[in-house]
This record gives sequence, structure tokens and C-alpha cells, in this order.
Amino acid sequence: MTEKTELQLLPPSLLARLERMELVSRKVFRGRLKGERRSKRKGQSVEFADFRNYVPGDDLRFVDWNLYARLDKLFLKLFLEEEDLHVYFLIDASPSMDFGEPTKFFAAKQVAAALGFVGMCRGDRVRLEFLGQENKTSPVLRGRSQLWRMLEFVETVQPNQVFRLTDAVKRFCLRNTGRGIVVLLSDLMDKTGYEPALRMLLGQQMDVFVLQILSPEEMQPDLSGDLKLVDCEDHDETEISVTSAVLKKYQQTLAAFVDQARRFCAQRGMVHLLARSDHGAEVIVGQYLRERGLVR
Amino acid sequence: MSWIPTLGWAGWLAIALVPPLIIMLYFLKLRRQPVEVPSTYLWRRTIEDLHVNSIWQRLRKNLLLLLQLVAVAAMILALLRPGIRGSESLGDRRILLIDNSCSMQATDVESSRLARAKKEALELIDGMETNDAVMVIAFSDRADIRQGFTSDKRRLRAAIQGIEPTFRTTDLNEALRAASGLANPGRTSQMEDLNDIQVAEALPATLYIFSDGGFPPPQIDLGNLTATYVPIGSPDAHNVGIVAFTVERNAENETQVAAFAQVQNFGTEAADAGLSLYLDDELIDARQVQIDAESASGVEFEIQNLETGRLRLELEYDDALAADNIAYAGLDPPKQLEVVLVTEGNAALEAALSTSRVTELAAVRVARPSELETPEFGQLLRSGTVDLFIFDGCAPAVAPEANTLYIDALPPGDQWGAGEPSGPLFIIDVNRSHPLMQYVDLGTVRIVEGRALQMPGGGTELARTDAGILMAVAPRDAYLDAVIAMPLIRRTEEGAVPNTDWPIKRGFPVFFFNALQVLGGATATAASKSVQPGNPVPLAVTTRYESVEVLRPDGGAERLERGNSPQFIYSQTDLPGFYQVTGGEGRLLQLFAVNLFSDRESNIRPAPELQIGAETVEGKVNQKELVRVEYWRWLLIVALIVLGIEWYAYNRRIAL
Repeated sequence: MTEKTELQLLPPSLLARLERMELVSRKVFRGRLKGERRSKRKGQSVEFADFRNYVPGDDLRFVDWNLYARLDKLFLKLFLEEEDLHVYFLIDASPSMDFGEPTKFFAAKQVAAALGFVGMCRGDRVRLEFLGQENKTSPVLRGRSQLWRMLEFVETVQPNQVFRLTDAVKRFCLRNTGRGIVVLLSDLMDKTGYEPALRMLLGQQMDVFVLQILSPEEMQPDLSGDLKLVDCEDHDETEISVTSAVLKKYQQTLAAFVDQARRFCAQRGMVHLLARSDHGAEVIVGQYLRERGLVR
Repeated sequence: MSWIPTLGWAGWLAIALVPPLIIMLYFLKLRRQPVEVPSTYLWRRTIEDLHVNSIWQRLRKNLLLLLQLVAVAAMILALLRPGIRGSESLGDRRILLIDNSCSMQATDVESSRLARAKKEALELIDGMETNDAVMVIAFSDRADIRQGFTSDKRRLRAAIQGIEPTFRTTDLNEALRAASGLANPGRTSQMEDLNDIQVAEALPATLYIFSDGGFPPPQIDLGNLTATYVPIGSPDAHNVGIVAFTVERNAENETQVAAFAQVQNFGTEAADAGLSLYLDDELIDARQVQIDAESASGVEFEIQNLETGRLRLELEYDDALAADNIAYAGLDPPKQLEVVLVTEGNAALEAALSTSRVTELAAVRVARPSELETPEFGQLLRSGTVDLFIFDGCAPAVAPEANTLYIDALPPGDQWGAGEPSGPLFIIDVNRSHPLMQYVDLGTVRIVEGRALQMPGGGTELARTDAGILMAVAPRDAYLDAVIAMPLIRRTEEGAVPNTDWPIKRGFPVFFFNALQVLGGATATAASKSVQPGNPVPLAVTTRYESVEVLRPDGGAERLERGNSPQFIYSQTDLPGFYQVTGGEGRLLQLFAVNLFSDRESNIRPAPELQIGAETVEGKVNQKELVRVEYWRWLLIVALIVLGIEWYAYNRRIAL
């Protein structure tokens, strides 16, 4: 079961590629590159690392005044910044994700597992959380040996919970106050709106990536005739006579919807990415996310 | 617009249920197929946008329904057979009489009056009911049934379109007789005779006469026929035509010829026309004539030194009818007769046959009675190459193949008889009406001795004495035998002594000249015959021709065989112009002309009404009223097109 899942979700060839990647936070620097660049913020778990000479323009707050008193020279205290990174993957487990071939849910799980594996390999603290009526959270995973635990956890969840995205994100935020990278994997098809949820994540000062996953059936619907469309979540019925004009209009609406999400994110410093569920993790991670700067 | 419902009330009830049924089916059809989608979120937004144009949306939604209803409406309308219809209802049987006489060639309407008449007749055919029977008769001076009663519109159209114009005159009688043959059967059953069954039932019919009315009122009772007269032609059509053209030789000078023409103006304005006279296609004279409105003017031409030839008179005037603007007249060629005189010697007779007029007319050969027995003469008798044999005091054993004149002898056979000679004789009666006796005065002739004739049946008495018939003529097969039952010279022992003083009278050479003309076949009329188109022409051709060839104006030729009849009769005179009759060796035997020369045909103003028997038929100008223009085909086509669009729309889900 586990092996099968691994093969399905993360084939060995993909794992090999993922091992060479690392997650990048635009807000949080990793400590291994100490002294090369300066952090905009001080690390919280401060670990002293070294001293260096003061050069004009350095922040005076980091001058070691004791040494100045003793040696009459200005030295700067260098701290070892926090090396590990909190990476959260929020996966939408609503029934609407269970559409497409492969399903959007599968694609979301695959991308989350792949990115999680990248983080785990680099010693980041990875946590997966399935959004639902009750959020289902994995333990913190760290180190590549935890891969099996992650995959096992992923398999236990089914996309069958009807919930509001805002409520689920709120639950996440209440529990996780720490900073880090948040990757939200969802189709954003919430009739109450996805904007409050994203604002809440921003309020946590997290580096937010929104991966909007849509199935090919949603992007190019293959419908015709007089139909009664039934919503799989709230069973809302919409009668429609599908004509070429209606299809055209649908495409316009979809494009406007995606564009609106992209603009909403861009204006607030979030990264939005649209992915098709049939593209696979290799393309999404290796190509799209790399271009958008989440991995390198 | 009128309607002919084609269904009964039950049918209409069923039809009326169709549109509600379609609407019901349409709603039934709209039971939508449920499809589960991840979210109706985007679809709702899409539809909300579209609902802005909700009227169009609704229309688009119902496009198929609308198209189906339109198609059904068009079909229902087609079932009602809408059409524009005349005020009077048409008879079940219709007879179309279409005038194709010469006056219908007038071009005052469209291409010609005949074309207009055909067009109107075709419109009538188009408008007829499916079960109507129509008969088509073309008429000029004779009737031609082009199509018997049928309801096959295609055949009727072909029959009408096949009517060609002619140059003939017009006579409605024959056409009416043909038409009324059906409507008014002549035979009636007799009450007392059980075997006499009425052969035909009287069937009333409507008669449509497409004509300009240029014919004498037909004397016929219409009976069951209802006549409708459709006048063809413009009431202010004008025409100037030649109504007569004759040629006559001057009696004193044979080579001088006078040509007379009469030109009539049938219009309401005075006309100034030019007349050109052509001799054998060469212009020899021209005149300008002024003709007052509705009057005629005579023109005379004098031509010198003309023995034979073809004269053509052309009227140069632009009018509606061209056929009467050319007239033809011919001068017959002089004839050379072959005459054989068999005599022992008769100075008086030979003198009478050697006058200048006779030598112009005939070549006279003299033979002796002894030659009668020779085979050569026998062959000559049978050859038919001789126009006239004159036997003086002798007779052949077998009657020759020619006309004969016997003097003091009887034709062979026992048909003729004569009494014993007696005398003196006195002429008591002369048949002056016979062409042989024209200008022959026998009143003062003294006769020493003569016989009384018994002539065969059919013979004509020419002169009678106190003793009986002295001269007579009688037919023999195709020939004529004339007999004079007295000798001109009595041969006595003292020699030849005159038996009568006739040879010294003026009437003697005149009689022999008449004999050459009548018996020899040389009728010395100056001008050749002229007949109206379509009329038969008897050809005065000498008996020795067994067959002749007639060359028509259009260049065609026709060979005529004599058969058993004494005369050739030529009847294919449809075209105006010259007809040349030639013998076997190409010699021109006779020339005759065919001319219209009919003031009825030339007067092309259409008659406002017709007088048929005792009935007056008013012209009905607005023929269109009779025609029913049907629209049901168009409605069906619309229905088919709409159905096609509906089908396309259903398959393509196109948005209009």
C-alpha cells in the first residue's frame, strides 16, 4: 500500500529530481548562508555566530558595545539565523476537488508531497494540513526518513468534507502562529469567497503561495444540450442550455475568475499559480513553481 | 386573395391540434439531463451575465419552437390553397381558340399579337384547376385542333407554344364548329326509334377566343358554349397596307403593261407612304402616296416592253403589320402550243392557223390523212406531246392523247353519232357563253350541207341549225373533243368547192384562235393568277405534262403528279410570294402569286366585341382576372426552408 502510494504520488525519478531542490522563502533566510546577505529581521532563536568589523551603513543596533568599550573598536555581532524553515501545506479536501482525471485532489496531494519531500530533505519543518470541517493535521516532519510517514498520512484523507474555506483557514491560523511558508492548494471555488481566507494567512505574516488547481473538464467543459447542472457540494441546481455562446461566456467568466485571484494575490505580495490537474507534479513543481521562485 | 380549403372539418380539427402538440412536445423535450459538476459557481455567474439579454436569451431558447411553428403555419396556409382568383368561376371544360391568322402577326403589342395571345392562354392554363379539361384550337381560315380535351398542363402548354403564325385570312366558323361538336352534339335521340341512342351527352364548355376579331361574324349558334372574347391588340394600332395589285396588258400593244395598286390606310391619321415597284428584283418605278385616315388610294404604274416577269410592289411605311406591305404580281410567259392539222389541203383552214396571233401562240404542223396509218403518227397520237389535233375530214383509228377538233368527221368510237347530210342549213342558236364561241358570229353564215350531231353525255352544244346540233364539245377522259359536223370544202368532181361562207367571215379565225386557247390549253390571260394564302390554285398546264414542279417563294420545290385528274391543283400556298410551275425540262409553264389582299386582315384594330350568331360577346380586356395565381407552392417551399433551418439549428445549436 505504502509502496504503491509512493509510486503513484512520487515516482523514484521525481524523487531524484526533488532531492536536488530546495524551498525558498522570500521573507526568511536560511542560516547556512550566514554573513553573505543581511536579514531584514532578526532571528528569534538567536545563536551567536561571529563578529565582524563595522562598515558604515550597518545597523547600529547590532554593534557590540561591550567590545567597543574594551577595544575601542566597532564590531558587529553576527547571529546564526534559524536554519530550519516552517513549511505548511494546506490541501483543500472538499468534494469539488474530487473531479478531473486525475482528480484535482490527487494533483494537490502529489504537489504537496513533492514539495514536502523537498523541504524534508533540506531539514525544513514540514507540516501537511487537510482543510475540512475538522482540519486534519500531520505531525511535523523533518528529514527524508519521514517520507513514509508523510505518504501514509496523505493516504488517510478523502475529499468528502463540505466546509467554508475561511473557517478552515481560520482554524489553521489559530493553531499555527509561527512564521514560514504556506502553500494553499485549492480550486478556490468557494461560493462565499476565498479572499477572507487569504487575508487571514497574510495576517500571520506568512510567505503565502496559492496554487489554484483546476481540472481540464473545468477549463474546457465538454457539455452540450439542455442540462441541469448539479453542484456536488451543496447540490445546487442550475438549468442551462449549452450553446456555443454560453460556452464562450463560460470561458470568459473562468478567465476573469482566475485573473481576479491572480491580481488579488499580486497586490498583497502573494504568489498565485494556476495549474491543471492533468499536468502532474513534475511539471508543476519542476517548472511552474521553479519559475515562480518557490523552489530552486 | 381567396382560399380553397382542401380538408373537411375533421381534417381541420386534426390540423388545429398540431401547433399545441408541438408546444407540448417542446416542453416535454426540455426535461433536462442532470450533470454533476464540481461547482456551479462559474456557471451561475455565466448565466447571470447572459441574462442581461434575457429577451434574446428567451428567443434563442425558443428558436426551435418558433421555427417549428412557422413551418407548420406555412403548411396549414398551403392547405388552404390561397390564391388570387377571378371574380367568375371557371367552367370545368374550356376551349381555347387562338387566332393565328395574318393580322395576329401585328407587332403593336409585345413581340406580336400571337405571342401575346399565347402568353394569355398559357396564363389561363397556369391558373386552371387540376381537374379542368382544356382543348386548344388554332384557327385562321381553317381550324386546327392542336390538343383535344386534356388536363395535362404540360401537353397543353406544348400545344399552345407550338402554334405558328400564318399568312392566312380569318374565319371563325370552322373553329366554332369544331368546338361546338362536343358541346352541342348534332344527333339527338328519337323517341320512337329505340335503336337510336344519343351518342354524346351535351357538355357545356367555356370558349375563350384569343383574337383581334378581324373576321366576318360567324353564323353559328353557340348553344351550350359560353363564349369569352379576349381581344388581342392595341386599339390605336395603325396600319397601311396594299389591298390590291393587278397587272394588265394593253389590248392594243401587247408589250405595254399597266399595274394597278390600291393602298389603304386603316389608321386614324393620314399617312405618307412610298411605293417601290420592282421587276425581277430591280427597282423600275417609285411613287409617293398620301392617304387620308381610314381611306384608300389607287396608284397606277405603266411599264413598257414587258413580256414576262415578276412584279413586286413594296410599301415603305412603318406600321404594325408588315405582311401586307408587299404585293406580288406576275406576267405569264407566252405559251407555245403544239398543234397538228391533218387535212388533204384546206386553204381556208391553213390561213386561219397562220395569223400572227396564232403563230405567236402555237406551232402548227400539217399532216396528210394518209400518214394516219403510219406507226410514227400512231406514236405521235399516243405521245401526249401535242396539245391539239385538228382532223379535217378524217379521223384516226384510236383517239389521240390530246384534245381534238374534228371537222366533218366523228371521233373514233360509238359515243358520237351523226345523221345524214342535209341542207341547206341555217344557224338558229349559238352558245355564246362557251369560251370557244366567244366573239364568233355565226348568224350570217350560210351552209350548203351539214349533219345533225348526237353527242355523248356531258357534252356541250355550241351551235345548232334547223336540222340539229352542228357543233358540240364533249369531254373524253381528261381531254376535250370538239366536232363541227359540216365540211368546209366539198370535194366534187369539179374540184373543191366551198360548203360554207364561214371562212370568209370574221368569226372564222376568231373561232380557231379560241380553239387554240381553250382546247390547246393556252388561256391568254395577261396577268398570272393571284390567290390568298392557303387557297388552292388550279394550274392551267397543257395535257402533255404528266407531272410538274412547283417552286415556292422560300426556295422549296414540290412535284405534282397528274394522276387521273385533268387538272393540277396546288394547295400549299401558305407563304406570300411567287410560285413557279415548271415542266419536266425546266420550262416555266405558269407563274402565280400569293398575296394577302384582305382588308379584314389589314384592318388590325381589334374589334371591341364579337357577333356570334345572335349573341354579342363583349371583349374582356382584363384577362388576368381569370387567372388564379396560387401561392401554396411558395408556402410549402417556405415550410421546407424553415424546417431545414430548424434542423440545422438543432444540430449545430447555433445562436442567432
